[in-house]
Amino acid sequence: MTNISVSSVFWSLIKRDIKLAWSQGGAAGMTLGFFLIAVTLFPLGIGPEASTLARIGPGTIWVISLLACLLSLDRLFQADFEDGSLDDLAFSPLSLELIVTAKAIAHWIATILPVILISPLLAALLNMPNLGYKMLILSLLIGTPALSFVGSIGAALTVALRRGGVLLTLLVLPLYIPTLIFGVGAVEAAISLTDPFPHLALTGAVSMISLIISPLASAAAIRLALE
Amino acid sequence: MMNKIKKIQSNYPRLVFEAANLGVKRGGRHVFGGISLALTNRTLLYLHGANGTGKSTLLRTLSGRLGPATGNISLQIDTEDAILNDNLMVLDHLNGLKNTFTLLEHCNYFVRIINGTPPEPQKVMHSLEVLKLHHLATQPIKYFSSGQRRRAALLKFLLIDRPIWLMDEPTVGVDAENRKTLAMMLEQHIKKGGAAIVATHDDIGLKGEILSLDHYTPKQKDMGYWS
Amino acid sequence: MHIFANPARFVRLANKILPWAIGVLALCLPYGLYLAIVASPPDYQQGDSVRIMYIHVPSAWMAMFTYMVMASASLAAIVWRHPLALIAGKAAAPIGATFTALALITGALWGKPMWGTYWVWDGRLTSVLILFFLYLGYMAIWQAMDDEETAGRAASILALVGVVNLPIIKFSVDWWNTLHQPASVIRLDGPTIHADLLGPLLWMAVAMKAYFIIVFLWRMKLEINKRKLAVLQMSVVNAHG
Repeated sequence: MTNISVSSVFWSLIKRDIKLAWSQGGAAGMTLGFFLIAVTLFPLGIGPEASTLARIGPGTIWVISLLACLLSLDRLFQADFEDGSLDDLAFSPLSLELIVTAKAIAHWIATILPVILISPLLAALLNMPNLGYKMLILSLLIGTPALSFVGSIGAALTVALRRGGVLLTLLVLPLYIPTLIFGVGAVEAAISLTDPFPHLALTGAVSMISLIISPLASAAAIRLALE
Repeated sequence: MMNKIKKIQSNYPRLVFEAANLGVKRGGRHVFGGISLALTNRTLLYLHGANGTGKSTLLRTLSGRLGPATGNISLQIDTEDAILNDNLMVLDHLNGLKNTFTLLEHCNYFVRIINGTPPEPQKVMHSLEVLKLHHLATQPIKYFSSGQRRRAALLKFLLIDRPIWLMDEPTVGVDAENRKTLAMMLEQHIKKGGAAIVATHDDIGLKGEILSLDHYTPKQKDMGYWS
Repeated sequence: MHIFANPARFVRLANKILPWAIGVLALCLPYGLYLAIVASPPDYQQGDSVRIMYIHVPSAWMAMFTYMVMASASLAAIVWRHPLALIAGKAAAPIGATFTALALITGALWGKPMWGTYWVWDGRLTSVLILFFLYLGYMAIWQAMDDEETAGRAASILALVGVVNLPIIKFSVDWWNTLHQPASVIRLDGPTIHADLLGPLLWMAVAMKAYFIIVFLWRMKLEINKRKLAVLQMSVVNAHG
């Protein structure tokens, strides 16, 4: 019992969560579907003029990824909370801070990464200028971890609530605003041939800060729920 | 980490699990107060008491998930302070099972999340046989009956070797024959030098000490903080 | 257990502070308003619309100050589990939300004649809007959970996370080029604002702080009474088995 490797427990938990996210009842497939459908609504609602679509493209994709992330977050801890496996996790050698970190990472890999991977396809549907593609993917890669991590705080705070989804939205969306501003800023800078790096750096900074704060806050909230 | 249930009667090191003057508040009301108990090797303690006297709450407190309002909990192994989390195995009301996993997958992930390494296959098979679940090993848990689920939840005690077992209503939904299995598991565990606390309404069929929570419901006189 | 402040002692203290705070408010608010609306000169560029500043700026200060009160109370509630700290946070939140809303609304009214628009999406306005949402979120958590203590501690976690927003608000005008003017009162090299404007501003600031103290203490007393009532109700329920 003495030489338990914390890192292998950590990776096991990530693997387990990814598997669950992609199995029946998991949120990953649905999130991807939501992302596809919601983005295609924009040309239909706003009109198919190429120049308008090109103008709103980066912002639309960022906003919809944000909403897609939000949609999948309410089950981040709740599924485990409801069937009792969160209690079992509390007896693993990982601290709760590491447990929520592992779950946020798994959420990002299982749910957000696929969204990022198909985003160029949707950017093409929105007629986004060629200059923006690389930066769109890059900014999403750098910025979206903040969405999973900050979102984990909201998911942890609402874990015991039966209809926590709405409250989760209210809590988390305001905290997403910085990531959205800087992420979209980077893509638009790339399109307008100015320097996207400052925006990208700020996007990364938000991700780093959320990486530090979120595990502490989420773990405290989970502890509250497990009482 | 040899398989031990039948062959080797390895003894646990000397342990003292103590709680002194425990009092717990929930939702602003005192659930119980002034509970003291001590477990050593080969102690089997039953928690009795009417509904609402706080059996589950006491188990949550003893397992370190609910902070007591008064009193403290300590665990000593070989006269040294030991970490509670590494020496407990807890069964709650919830079974901690994932519908989409097969029973084997459940065992696999459960052990990996506690130990970091996959379980030894013969140990898994042995545990499944003890609880008469071996013919269900490759079936998804969603098809299980509630009795089968409860038995599957008991697997954790056989898969991971921990000296102190806490069980909350382990017999709920379990038929007479499988109660015998449960009794046998507990008997083996106690014989090996383990300790267990079992909250139950039923007669398990094993001799043990009894703590009745009926006498610890506090008179609500110490609510005076606000008045 | 809670030697430093039990509710009875707190109420006695609050009752001593309240008359003084009411006195300060009764003195400062009329005088501050008189200076702001009548006595102070109109701005040579902005004309009379500069007078909105005397509400806008102190409200914005109070919005941040109240958040700091709420966050400190939250920290105390989580670290020391102090029941009065939970109540303090709960009492402060609606006041802070109101000041934030006041700052945003007066800012919009001031922005229309100055910038030609009610609202711009710059760093300062956006971060203050986020502050407003944080207050709402904090109150929403209190609302959503049945158990007062759990609700309070959960809300406290959010309040502490939101502290990141405070430096962003403070420095947003320096970090981003925006329409909103940079700090002119609280800065390291002394205020750059003209003394004629500074006077009424400070009177209004003191008045608003007094107002905060009054409402804050009233709300805390109210919450304490609510809990006393809950204890009584619980004892009735218990007495009837």
